[in-house]
Amino acid sequence: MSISIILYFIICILLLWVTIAGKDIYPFSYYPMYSAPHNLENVRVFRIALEKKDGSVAWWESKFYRYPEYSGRKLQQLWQIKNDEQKRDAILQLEQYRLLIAVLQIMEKENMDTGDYSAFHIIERTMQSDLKPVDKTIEIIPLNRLKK
Amino acid sequence: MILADLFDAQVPYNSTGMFARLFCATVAIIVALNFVQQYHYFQTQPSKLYGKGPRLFGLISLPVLNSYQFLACGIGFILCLLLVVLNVYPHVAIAIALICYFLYFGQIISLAYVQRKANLIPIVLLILLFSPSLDKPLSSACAACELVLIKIVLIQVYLSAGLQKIRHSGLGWLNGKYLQAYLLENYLWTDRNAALRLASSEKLCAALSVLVLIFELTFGIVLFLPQLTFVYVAFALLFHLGTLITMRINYLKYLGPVYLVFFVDLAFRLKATIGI
Repeated sequence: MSISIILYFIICILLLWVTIAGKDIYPFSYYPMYSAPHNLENVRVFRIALEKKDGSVAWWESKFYRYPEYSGRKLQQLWQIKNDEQKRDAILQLEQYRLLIAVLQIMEKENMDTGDYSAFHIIERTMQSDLKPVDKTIEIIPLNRLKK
Repeated sequence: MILADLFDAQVPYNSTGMFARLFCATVAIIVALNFVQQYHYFQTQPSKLYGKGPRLFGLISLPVLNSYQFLACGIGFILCLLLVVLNVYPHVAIAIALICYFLYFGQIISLAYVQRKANLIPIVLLILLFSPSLDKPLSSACAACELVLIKIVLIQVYLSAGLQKIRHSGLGWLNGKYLQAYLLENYLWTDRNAALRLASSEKLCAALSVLVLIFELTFGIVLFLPQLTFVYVAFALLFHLGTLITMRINYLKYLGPVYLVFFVDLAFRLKATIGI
């Protein structure tokens, strides 16, 4: 049996394994995205917005859209834990700062002048049943607190 | 026709060689076109936010590169793919391209249009690396097994996505509410009206959910009924265009070149017509 046939056989086995087991063996992958149950009542995202020195607030936008999305998801997870376990509040606050400092560094590497901004706003966005978004600012963090 | 017959089949021309040239040329062009953007992403040091990337085959940690090494791997990857197109030591070129791929893409694997979406490139290159037909003239007869395997690799993407939906949501996924919720969540991230417009019709969401699940679970039928290939390929194109517009999910960029496996016969016909 030639080497190529053996290799092709191994590739088939790996494909079968990741598909059935639902596990990744990079670069062999399964594709679970958007497969979990979801509904309108649970639609909620945390987005980061920036307050300018003139008081106006705008969404943080990156050339690489997963940065704001990933950071928002992380903040959402932290807030979920915060709500569940009050005792660990201080540690979670530190983790939130660490995350926002990383965001600040990304903004600077993307040539954004962070001196123009004064604060991060963490905004919880939900959907009403009439499909209108509702924005609620849940925390404002001054940038100078993160830059120290 | 059973799967073993497909693997044993012979074709009167070197379809693997033709596919390798088309695939490598397309991937080289796409990487070259996105090179600057990918370098900018690399410079933002994504690992600081996302952490380390996956281990190769779950075992080998990929090294962190500096800027020069990253650029060298990217350029090396493109040049090696071009050597395959020119049929200059294609096996050696693919072997080096594979190393460059893992080093280069390992740094930017968290990029939205790379994560999972570029995974088929090294798998296809691995299949081509061990193909005895790769360096043969295009006019020589060869086995069809490599192309059958590449089609299976592509089918696995959709089959896996379909099975995961069944596993996690059962037939509930077909009611359209889950798709609607995902579209609305995407709208909250992006404020894109396309997602909101689509989500506002629950019936349309339900119809799309049914169509998508049927498509994903039955894509494999193209192996046995090749006359359906273009129906499925057209649907796949529309599906990926739709997810790109409404949810910013871009599979077209790095999964697109693998679809050339369905266009090899067309390429030979075109070649004969032009008289190359």
